[in-house]
Amino acid sequence: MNPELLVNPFHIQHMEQLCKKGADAFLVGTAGIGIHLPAFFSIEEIQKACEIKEKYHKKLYIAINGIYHNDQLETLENYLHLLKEFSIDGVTFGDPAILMLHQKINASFPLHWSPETTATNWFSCNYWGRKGAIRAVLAPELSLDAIMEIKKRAKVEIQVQVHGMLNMFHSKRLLLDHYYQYQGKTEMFLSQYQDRMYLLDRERGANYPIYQDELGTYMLSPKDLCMIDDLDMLFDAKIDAFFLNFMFQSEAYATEITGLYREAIDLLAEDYDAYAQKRNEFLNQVKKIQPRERELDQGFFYKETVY
Amino acid sequence: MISIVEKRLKKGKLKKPELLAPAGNLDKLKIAVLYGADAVFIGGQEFGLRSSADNFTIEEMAEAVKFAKPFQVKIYVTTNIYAHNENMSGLVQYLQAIEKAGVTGIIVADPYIIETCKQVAPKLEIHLSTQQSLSNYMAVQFWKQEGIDRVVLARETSAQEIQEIKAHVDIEIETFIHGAMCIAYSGRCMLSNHMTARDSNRGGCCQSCRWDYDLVQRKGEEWIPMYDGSNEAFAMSPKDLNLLASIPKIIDIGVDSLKIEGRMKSLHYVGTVVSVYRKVIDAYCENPETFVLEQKWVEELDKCANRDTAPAFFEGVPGYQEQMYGVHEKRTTYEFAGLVLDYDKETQVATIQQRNHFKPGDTIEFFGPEIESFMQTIGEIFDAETGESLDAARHPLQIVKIHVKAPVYSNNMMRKKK
Repeated sequence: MNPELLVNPFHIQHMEQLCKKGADAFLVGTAGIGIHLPAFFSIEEIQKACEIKEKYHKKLYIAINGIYHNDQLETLENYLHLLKEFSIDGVTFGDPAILMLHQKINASFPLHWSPETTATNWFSCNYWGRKGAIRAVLAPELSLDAIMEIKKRAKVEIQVQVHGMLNMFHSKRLLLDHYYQYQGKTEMFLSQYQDRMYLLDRERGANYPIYQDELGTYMLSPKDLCMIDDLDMLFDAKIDAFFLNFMFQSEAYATEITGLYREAIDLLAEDYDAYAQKRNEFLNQVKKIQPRERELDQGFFYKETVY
Repeated sequence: MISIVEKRLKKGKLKKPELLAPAGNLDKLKIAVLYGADAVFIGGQEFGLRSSADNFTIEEMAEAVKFAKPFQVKIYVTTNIYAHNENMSGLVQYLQAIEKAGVTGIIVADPYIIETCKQVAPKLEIHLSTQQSLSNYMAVQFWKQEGIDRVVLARETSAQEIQEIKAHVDIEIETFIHGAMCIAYSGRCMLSNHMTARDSNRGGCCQSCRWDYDLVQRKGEEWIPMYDGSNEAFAMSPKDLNLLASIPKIIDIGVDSLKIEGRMKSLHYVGTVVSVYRKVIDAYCENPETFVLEQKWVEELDKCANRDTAPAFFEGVPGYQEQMYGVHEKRTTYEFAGLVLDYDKETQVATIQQRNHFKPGDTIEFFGPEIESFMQTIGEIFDAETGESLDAARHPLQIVKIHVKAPVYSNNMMRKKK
């Protein structure tokens, strides 16, 4: 079976466009509950999204992927109750409280374990599998070798990000507001990522996207991951889902990139050699629409980290 | 809060919490024990964060346990990395060796290490590391069901949240009371990986959060600075945690273990922080109704501060005042001048191991668990071996003798204003 092509839609109509462009699955979330999302869907919009995904025979997952405090538990329980009535295909979570609530309300939708930085070995994936998750979303800081070994030994589905910025930071503190206040500015700065704020690191000549929501401050990688010309090994390893991250990108970009990955995956499934011949062309097509200030790279797939 | 104190007092059970100190090596561990810690956490040579700290071999762990035992002090070992596949071998033997060394428990984040420990080293207690960012009682309940003995909460939890967690789950709770902070949720920061290819969750953190950045907005093709030239750069550097004034509240809530951060910190830091918190915990538990935080304890603690301090999330939501902008130098007001090795009552002469330069005429302060701190001016300094009079103690670890005006004990410390 081909890997599932998973993306974040920006709104309902965009989701329909992405269906037509060949996305297999969608990850959406609600403000104040889901994090690391380019846009938020209200509960009514999630209901609409369910209709669309059924119409196009796609999958819909809900991001409940924050780190939660006591006063959010009631909201989360109510939210899960509402989701129970919908035909969603899964919930991504990192906080074990979601696992507990899932049991408590007797929900039947599947769980995807998605803790961002801490899904780093096959044992953890299987551990959360035993606790009820059917999929593990791997940390983006892993090497290709590590991913392949995890896939070999995992008893759960494995999801890997293959495109876009990598999430690299979550603080509970409102760091952008704080900087404004420190400067004596009076306006509060509750920024969404659309404000396109960056931290410049002059020493490394790098810039890091930064944004804030009510659950804290987030930062993203200095370069955009792009594996469109190098999907063979992940495909051969039978990675279950390829995720494209559209944070800090435009809607049009998201639509185009989704289409390109659809084409690449289909070609790979059909004819290896044809994909091999076309890989540079795929990459060039991405480069054409890639914002000038955002370089592409291969993330940690071939990069060693030391410690 | 007050009602809880009354309830506990009536029942006569204002439980004294464990004071948990860090130690980067055996010398520091001894100081932590002697200065009043109830438990000490140390790093081993594998599976722990802070990979650049000294860290203990298995033999040293056994020695630590042997030293601590007569004082009824427990030893915990941090094994709190998030392992990658390549870090997974050798764990069984390692945990068994730790268990055999007599260590009480391990501090862990990765389920691989938790589950392996349950199987192969069942005598070890399992404490869930703050790397799991535990912030609510249902998450704590989950880990209780998993057989975890103690949880270290996220540093982002408030007094009220900790109290609620305590009320909902019957499990030992450990919280940080002092030391350096992560600006991110612990374990949720990969800045170091992206900026320098050093893996923060395997002990390689390069502390990128202490650097300066320029905040800019992208508008069309332009970068708009979000600051004017007169202001300091964007920074995330958090002030260090200091909950000295909150100790009564922490004890009232019933927190089981109060943790001091700092396996990389100096002997002077360990001695100072442990002894101050020891005094405050004892004084409050002795008589909660009449307890007042004495100014001298606050001042004493400040003598080893590396940075400005703040109560962070324990006392509410930290604002910009709990971060540092334009501050890069470490703030140290005192330095560790010498360690007392011996004292001769007859002659009132102390034998001192030099830790920083000092000379006749310098004002120094002695402190330690047995004595009330006192200041004095250094008179003549003699070489301990030759008896020769010296113009200064200028060599690291040099042994000298000086006259002291009040009794001191071995392992007392001598500090000097910078």
